[in-house]
Amino acid sequence: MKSALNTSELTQNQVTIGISLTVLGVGMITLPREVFTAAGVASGWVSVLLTGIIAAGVMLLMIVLNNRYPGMSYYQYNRIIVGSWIGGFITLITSIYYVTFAAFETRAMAELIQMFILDRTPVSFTMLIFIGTAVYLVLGGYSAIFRLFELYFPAIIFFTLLIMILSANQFEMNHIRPFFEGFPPIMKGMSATVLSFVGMEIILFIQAFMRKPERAKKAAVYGIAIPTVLYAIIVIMVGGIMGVGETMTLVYPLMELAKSIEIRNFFFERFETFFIPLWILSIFTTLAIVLYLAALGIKTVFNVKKETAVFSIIPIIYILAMTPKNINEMFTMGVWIGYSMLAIGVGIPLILLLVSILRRQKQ
Amino acid sequence: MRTICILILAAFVLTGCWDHREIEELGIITGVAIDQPEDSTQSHMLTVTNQYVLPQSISSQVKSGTSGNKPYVNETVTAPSVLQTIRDQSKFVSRPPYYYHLKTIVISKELAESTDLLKLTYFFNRDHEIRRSVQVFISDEKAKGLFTITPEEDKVPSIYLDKITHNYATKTAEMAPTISLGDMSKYFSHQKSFVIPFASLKENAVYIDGGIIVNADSKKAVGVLTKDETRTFNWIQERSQGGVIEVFGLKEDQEHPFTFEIKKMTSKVKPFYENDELTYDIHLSFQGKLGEDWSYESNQFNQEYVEKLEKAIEETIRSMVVNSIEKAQKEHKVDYFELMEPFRINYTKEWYKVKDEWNQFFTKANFNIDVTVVVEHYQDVGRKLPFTP
Amino acid sequence: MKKFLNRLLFQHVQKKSEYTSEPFETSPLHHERLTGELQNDIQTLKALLGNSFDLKIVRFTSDPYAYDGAFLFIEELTDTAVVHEQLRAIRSLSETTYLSDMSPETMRQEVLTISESSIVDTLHQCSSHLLQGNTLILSDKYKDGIILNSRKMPQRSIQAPSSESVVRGPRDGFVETLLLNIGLVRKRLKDPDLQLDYFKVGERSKTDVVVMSINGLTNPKIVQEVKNRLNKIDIDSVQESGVIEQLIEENSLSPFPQVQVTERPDTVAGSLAEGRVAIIVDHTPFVLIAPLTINSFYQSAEDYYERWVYSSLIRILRVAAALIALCLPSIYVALISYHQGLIPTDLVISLAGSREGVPFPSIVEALLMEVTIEILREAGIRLPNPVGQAVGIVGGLVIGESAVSAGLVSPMMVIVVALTAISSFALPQYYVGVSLRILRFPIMISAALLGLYGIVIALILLSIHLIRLKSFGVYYLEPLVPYSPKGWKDMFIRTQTKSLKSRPDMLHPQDKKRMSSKN
Repeated sequence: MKSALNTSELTQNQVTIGISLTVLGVGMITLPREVFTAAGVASGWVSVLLTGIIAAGVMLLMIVLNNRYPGMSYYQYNRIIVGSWIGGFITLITSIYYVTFAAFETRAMAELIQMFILDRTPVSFTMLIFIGTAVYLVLGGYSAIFRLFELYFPAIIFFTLLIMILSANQFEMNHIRPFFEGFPPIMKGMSATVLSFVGMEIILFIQAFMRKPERAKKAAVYGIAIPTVLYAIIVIMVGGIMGVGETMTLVYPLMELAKSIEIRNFFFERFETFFIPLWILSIFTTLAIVLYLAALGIKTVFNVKKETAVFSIIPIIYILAMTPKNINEMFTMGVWIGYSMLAIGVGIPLILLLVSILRRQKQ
Repeated sequence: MRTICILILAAFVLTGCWDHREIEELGIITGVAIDQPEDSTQSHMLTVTNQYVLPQSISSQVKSGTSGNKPYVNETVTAPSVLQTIRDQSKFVSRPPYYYHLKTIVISKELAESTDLLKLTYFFNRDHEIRRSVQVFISDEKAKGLFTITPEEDKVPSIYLDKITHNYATKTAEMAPTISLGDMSKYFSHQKSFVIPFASLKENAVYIDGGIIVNADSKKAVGVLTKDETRTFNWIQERSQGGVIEVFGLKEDQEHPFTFEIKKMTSKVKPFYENDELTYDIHLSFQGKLGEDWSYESNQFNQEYVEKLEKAIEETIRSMVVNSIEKAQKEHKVDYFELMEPFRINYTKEWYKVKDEWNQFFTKANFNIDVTVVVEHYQDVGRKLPFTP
Repeated sequence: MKKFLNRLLFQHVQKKSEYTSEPFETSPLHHERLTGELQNDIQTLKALLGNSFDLKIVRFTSDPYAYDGAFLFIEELTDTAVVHEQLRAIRSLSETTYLSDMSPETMRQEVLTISESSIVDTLHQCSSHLLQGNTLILSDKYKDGIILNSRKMPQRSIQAPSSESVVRGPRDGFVETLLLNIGLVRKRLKDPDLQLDYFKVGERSKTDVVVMSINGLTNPKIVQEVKNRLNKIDIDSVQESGVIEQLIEENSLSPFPQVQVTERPDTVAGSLAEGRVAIIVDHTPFVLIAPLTINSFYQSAEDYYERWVYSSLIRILRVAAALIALCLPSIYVALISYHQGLIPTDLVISLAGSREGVPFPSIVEALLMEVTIEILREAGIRLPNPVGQAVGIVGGLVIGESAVSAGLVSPMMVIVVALTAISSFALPQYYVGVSLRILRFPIMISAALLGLYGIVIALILLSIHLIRLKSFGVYYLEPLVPYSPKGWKDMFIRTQTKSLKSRPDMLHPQDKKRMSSKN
């Protein structure tokens, strides 16, 4: 039934939170290791901040592109810029990218579950349930997705900060000193943070759904600032508690951090199993939006019903998620998704912006 | 859509329960002791003792108030690797070993001196069941021996050992700081030498006295810390805020001992690196009160007297520290004080050069040690008699 | 009292001019008008009402022109005192006035002493009024009949509502009489803008339903939505507001109620003033309030009467109780059979010791106890009060105690189940506790299958369901999401009354201001 009172258009808050939760995903848990391995020094957190600033810049360019075609999403206007054939192709490639991304998130979640909670439950089972849950959400439309994000956002932020606060007593300043060891390590560290910012390009699609699209810039900047700051805090805390060298040896550094928290004589001594649900939530939010965008792309290209599009990509996601044979292949998959984000999520839109400007199109 | 939901639900119900394990079916292990096999032909093997808690016997003892059987069982297995010993246990223990509640790991000194400790503990660090906060001890005799006592307060020796560590830091400076698996892993990752508490068995009780130095290069135990060395270690690292210092009199004859009780101490370490010469300025300052004074001259209303006392205490501490550092440089040849930290932070470039032979470099360092003691307070009575006898 | 209420009602009730469906479609007599021949009309009406014996006909005559008239009414439904009074009035007049010269309209205005009466001319109107308990006066030679409002209202006296008792607040509750119920609300909102829209629901039962809202305050879209849905109802009979509730709610598969039910007039008045719509159904003390949002899970009318710190703390307590009622057994099952590592070592040892010898896995144990508790609760409700208490004591104490000593369940499980049961009763609305109790079981099963992961997935599914759910166009989770900081002032925490200056945003009231900013 159509709502009598509420429009389904998104508010600025919803867009901000949507971008934050899309960006916060698997990257959060492995980021410290990747940054420290690439940078080699404790000042790696600066790389996170710098990447965040670049990401914000790129998003502003995307909004410039969006603003040339008001009320239309990327899938709709790309065919106006480069014609329906190439546009359709771009849409298809983008959908494939999102399907792969969804598969990666699913697999990463399943690995986490298998490693820490259910070691004998088949991965395929946990994955299917997870995908099924996401499908239920996606069928509710983008409005439901973004409202759900609003519901989860405080919990995810609160509990992530709670880990930081509970582990703060183990923080050793010496671990992150010296604070600055020149620029080259910071530059190296930036390359490792790319995967953690995958998902920021959703602004291309969701600006069209906004109630007041002129507020997209503000929403985008806040939306990217929240995960950037959170990432920086995580990297600093993990660095200060584990030390750079130790972090490099850990598979899921943030998880280890949570494992090291122990409150004696409290009803729960250990918290890490309580934090896993929150990471499941943060991975779930990313999966839901990515699944929605993939289905939207399929729907646009093949001109099918939304339900058909969603149900047709479930098996593909499942098969792709089962493809990596081991955890190393899964991490490699993540790296490739980071690169494809640079190409498909950032490169192509920027080229389209250029083409659009050269053709002097404006609507 | 609804049919799909129902199908998923059906899948839930029809399959499932893969990881289901009831709490009473677990073999809860609270302690692991690792020894060298007694049989010398098996020197490449490990003898691992797992201490299983028997919940039923504990809860029935609590209910009935009687002390019956021991509430734990020790199972010892000898095998080439730690994992192998665990798997071997499944052959004769009816309950699957459950390591989430592991509290203590005890390694015998004999084994620690001959085995790479990183390799030995690597399994425990990797396993996700085992917490990073598991306490590690080195035992004087057989590690297994510590698990066979029957302590009065806590019925299970491994839990008892874990609880002793809570006394650290406030009551005494003579215990080496407690160290957990996570800490060990951090020290190894950062190429730092460190100290593991040393536990010895004395008449049905475990004493934790001093510590064992682990060299970051060989990753083996290389020496035992004496009481004074442990204190120095605690002071330089600012780990301890308590403890007492006995000084045997102000005069040469040393007839009138007095005791200084530390309330608060701070330590400042500053490295100076010039012309390939490394010099540390170590400044230790203590605040506390006079606990005991056997001298009849004792008159703390007289500031001069108090200053004399302070001097004497400073001298005692200084000699203790100087001797300990000298021993570390000459005898142990290991920087277990983590003195590399300030050097790394202040002279990062130079640090990268000497990183790999740091212990070598450390033995050549010079030390300027400066101790300040402030007697803040005397207790209720300032002098013994109103006159000098 | 009754007259006063009747007057209150009839000033504002807008009679619906046409009925949604014709009830006695088959009868051809139905569309006919009165003929003006008394005997004939009486016979037709009798036939129309199935020649039923309880249709009473009191004839009277008046000289000299042989005026012939009759009172028709159905005895059980009619307040016969009204009939007698009017009969006396007519008789006392007839000595001096010629009744036969009077048209029914004149008679209605000049002779009859009753305040509510009207003129009808079709058989259809006659029969339906008769069935409502009104009295029909027919006279020979005139083709119009007079309808007297003589409905008998068999009513219970006003008592404290049993399903929602409060410590502080008015003690009166709704009763089974529509008019009295409307009066109870009207006494609390003496607002000329209070709008009453009258419906008849049920082809056969013809239950009176009144939709209450406030003109110029309530969002007309919500009112229109309620009316539309009521108009769509096509059912033979409605016995209770619950039937209407289920017919107008958005998602009848949802475990959550989408319409609030209350027995308290002050709750209704408060909700109306917030911008909600009340639906009052005749013959039941349960009044419906729409739209319902998540807030009413843990809010009670009393919160606004108590001081704000206390109310806020109580609300937080209720939220905690709701979470306990929903999740505690599942968390316990997950901890006991999957995540023993989370529990402190000392507790693990004592739990393992206490479960030693229990033959069932914890999920079976939990289901067993939960079902037992539900049976006890059901038995306690159905039985007369003193016996019910005895059942509670016997069940709770004896079964619990002996189940533990027989080694069937562990003592901890008894604590968990008891705590859960108490928590589900701590919620201010009974039916909310019911929906949480239902959901407890699927969450418990998923916890038994997948541990904490199962609980998380179940809760995610639940939250998606809640996010997608709407009640009369208002999102179910408003004002929690979409964010509305104004609404948060009166959510888990009720801030000072002074700071609640505007009405809840989510209801989009036309008049947003509740209090002047001077306060």
